[in-house]
Amino acid sequence: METDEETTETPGDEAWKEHTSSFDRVQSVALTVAEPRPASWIADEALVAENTARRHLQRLVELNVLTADAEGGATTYFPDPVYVRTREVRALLEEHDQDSLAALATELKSDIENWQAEFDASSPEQVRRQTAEDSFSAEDSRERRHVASDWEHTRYRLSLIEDALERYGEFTNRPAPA
Amino acid sequence: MRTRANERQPPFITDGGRDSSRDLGQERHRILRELRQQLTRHPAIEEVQGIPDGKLRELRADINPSAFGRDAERATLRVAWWPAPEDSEFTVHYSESTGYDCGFHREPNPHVDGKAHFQERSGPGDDYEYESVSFSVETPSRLLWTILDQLVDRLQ
Repeated sequence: METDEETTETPGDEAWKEHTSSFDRVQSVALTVAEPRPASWIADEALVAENTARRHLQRLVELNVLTADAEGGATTYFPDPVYVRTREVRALLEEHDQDSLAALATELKSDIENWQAEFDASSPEQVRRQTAEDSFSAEDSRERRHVASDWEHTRYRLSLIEDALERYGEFTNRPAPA
Repeated sequence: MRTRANERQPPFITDGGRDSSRDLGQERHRILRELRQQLTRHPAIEEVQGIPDGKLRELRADINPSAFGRDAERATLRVAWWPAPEDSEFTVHYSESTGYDCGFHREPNPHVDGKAHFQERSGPGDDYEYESVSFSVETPSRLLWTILDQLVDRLQ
């Protein structure tokens, strides 16, 4: 039995604790937040005591995984954008070579061009705004919300691929053993 | 509230209220990456991949159906997440080789009240049956474990 962890009745919590460490859970919660959150909030969601969360969060700040902001009272934590970007660029470089990255970029650009044409919009924000119009059926609104999200996701992904291609040589270079 | 002084705003704000402090495309990458990690920790999950290949818009996991108490040859789990300025939407959907499929979804739906629901059908030719559900947790990783736990209950 865990002693310093919170007891809750939400289904799945027990299994989550059984298969992950408190550090893993704090990291995972902190890396998915939509806005900066204090340690108490992250502790509740990660099913750990607040002191435990505080300790892990401090470590994650030292590792540049998170940024901390102490302005205006309680310290809040948010994913470090440089860490997030580097992690994704690394994953792309592990899964693709230079040609495949270039081909993927072409495909993603073509997806965006298709959305621009199909939804008569220049940005995903504009597609989101369209969903507020009454003239669309529930199904049409749903499609537009998902296209807006796919577009935002694709726009960020393209910027990652551009980074990976720009420094492909540097990022994949490994001197041969002497 | 609008005054002359703040009329000069960065173009991305006048372009439909894009919140410069919240990049939803980056957020979706973060969430999918964490959900993928969590799926690999779950004892019933065998392999997880991002689909479509390279575009990584959602996750597909191979599941061992017997770990879910099911007598099927193969089963897969599809996980998708759409961060949004208001309510994020998601899908965690189970499909097996018998033709049966079911899933937990959070998105507006004409069939039930409320946003979150469970839906299931015996085969691709059947109509879905819907049931309204609610979740008390928000964080994607924790919610995934909640849903997987409820899925096991539903499948047994």
